[in-house]
Amino acid sequence: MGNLFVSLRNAAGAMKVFERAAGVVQSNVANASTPGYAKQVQVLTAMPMDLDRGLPGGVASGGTLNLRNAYAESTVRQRLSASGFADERRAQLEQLEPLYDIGGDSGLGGAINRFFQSFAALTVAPNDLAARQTVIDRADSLARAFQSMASGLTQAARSAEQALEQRVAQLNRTLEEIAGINSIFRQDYRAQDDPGLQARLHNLLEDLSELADVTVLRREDGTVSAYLGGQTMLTSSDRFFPLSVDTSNPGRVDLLDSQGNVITEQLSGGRLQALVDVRNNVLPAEQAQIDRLAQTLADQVNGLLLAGADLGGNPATQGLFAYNASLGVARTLSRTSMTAAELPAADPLAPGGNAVAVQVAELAQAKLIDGYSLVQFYAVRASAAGRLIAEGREAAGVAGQLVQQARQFREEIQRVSLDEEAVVLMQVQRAYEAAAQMIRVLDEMTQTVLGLVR
Amino acid sequence: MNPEGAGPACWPELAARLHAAATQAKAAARLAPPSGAEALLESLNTVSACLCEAERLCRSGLLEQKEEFRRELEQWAADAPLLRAWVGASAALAAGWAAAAGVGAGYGPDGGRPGQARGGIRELG
Repeated sequence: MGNLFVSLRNAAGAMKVFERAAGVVQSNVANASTPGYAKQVQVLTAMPMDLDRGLPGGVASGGTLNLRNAYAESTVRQRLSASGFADERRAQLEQLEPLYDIGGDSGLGGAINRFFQSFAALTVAPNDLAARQTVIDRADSLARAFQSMASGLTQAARSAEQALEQRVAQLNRTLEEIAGINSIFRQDYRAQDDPGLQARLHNLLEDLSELADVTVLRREDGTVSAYLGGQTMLTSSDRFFPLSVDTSNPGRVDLLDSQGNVITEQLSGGRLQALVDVRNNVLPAEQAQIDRLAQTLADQVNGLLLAGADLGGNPATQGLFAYNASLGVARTLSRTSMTAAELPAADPLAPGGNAVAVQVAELAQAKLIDGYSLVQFYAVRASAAGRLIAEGREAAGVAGQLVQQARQFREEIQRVSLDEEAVVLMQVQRAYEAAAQMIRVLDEMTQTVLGLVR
Repeated sequence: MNPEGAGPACWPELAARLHAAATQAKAAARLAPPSGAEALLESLNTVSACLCEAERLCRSGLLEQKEEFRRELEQWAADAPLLRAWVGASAALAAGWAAAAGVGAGYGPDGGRPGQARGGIRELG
């Protein structure tokens, strides 16, 4: 009877293992569609069997194996970071698109063209007051077009700042939630085995990676620590260290750590870096180029006009344009108080002529900036902006596809297969049926022993 | 104490172990699968060990002070049908669970699951 009970004990041991396996199956099936869930597997271990030495054999539980793959998770996070950067950059750059209107006569390019066309018309009738007034009006329109462009770029910068503040607030909320899960892990080590909690934690880490390039370290107690750019600690154990945005400097925006230190340079990916890059580099560079264009145009036109004579043959006393370079040329460009009659279209030596008007009209073709005419330079800037936007869109599309690819790879490794889980369920069913048989045998053995002790 | 390490004093101890294991088995058998399985099997293991030990003591001729054990064993035997019923119910639940998932062993101590078509040729009459 002893050997029979050894067999029964083996069956019982197998049942214990199957009970745990059933729990794992329950979890897998229940979470088959849970985002971020990684399949778990009950490991079965064969026990040594040598009845003479009291080793009954059978099967034992080797613990639960989580199929979460660190490499696959890390790849998804890296690609999310790149995708977040590309997508945010695309969104910010698209704000420039309406500013660089190169179609027809609209926008800054059209205003420059119309301004020089008015001078070309003036060369035909230099003493015609209507032609002179047209020049004055076109100068007004040109100044407003530059102001509008500068205002658009300023607005884009402000929009990037606001987006950055919102993203940083989102990052801080994510950090707080990660710290909360870390706290649960610290209070109860068994919580590490909660697949739902693990899935939530990994979803939060993905959210974090999309916002910034974050290095994640997993500790033995199950908690995770996250470092921005591998340097600034964002969360550790049940604590988190919120970031903030410094917008006090009008020329740039900075990211601050919880101690108030500037950590902008540590950004190397994610939406935050895209916003900081667009705000601190792309937009100021565009603004500088537009300021160059405005200043060159104003200085060149003023220079020629100041050497001319007005309708009455008097030498010019002021230029056509004024600006404040320290506040931004394009932003402050305006027409002076010059009237149509004061417009110096003639050479002082040849009053009533069109010599100066011809020189100004010829500026339209002159190579004044980087080997380009003023209109060509604007077209080059518009083209560069368009290329930047197109590249941003393409990069965002490719980055999105790479994220999909990384997620697919991860799914192949750790997704729940309902077919496989069904097989385990069948094993559980058989195990219970075996238990029922075991009870019957035990009952018979009870009768035997009863016969002996009565 | 005899040379094998067992003596009359073992019977009360064996009776206490059997009582505790039987109580635990009855409680565990009432739980739905798979939550009660481990405790159930632990207690069944203990019962089987008690039976083995009792058999060994009997065959060694050590029969003094076995009354309390005998009473516990009779109680266990009386409770066995109820225990069988509970475990059978658990087996049926597990079968239903597997069937809900679209699979099943298709056979077992009670034959197929309710509603399951049986293969083979059925004899008339």
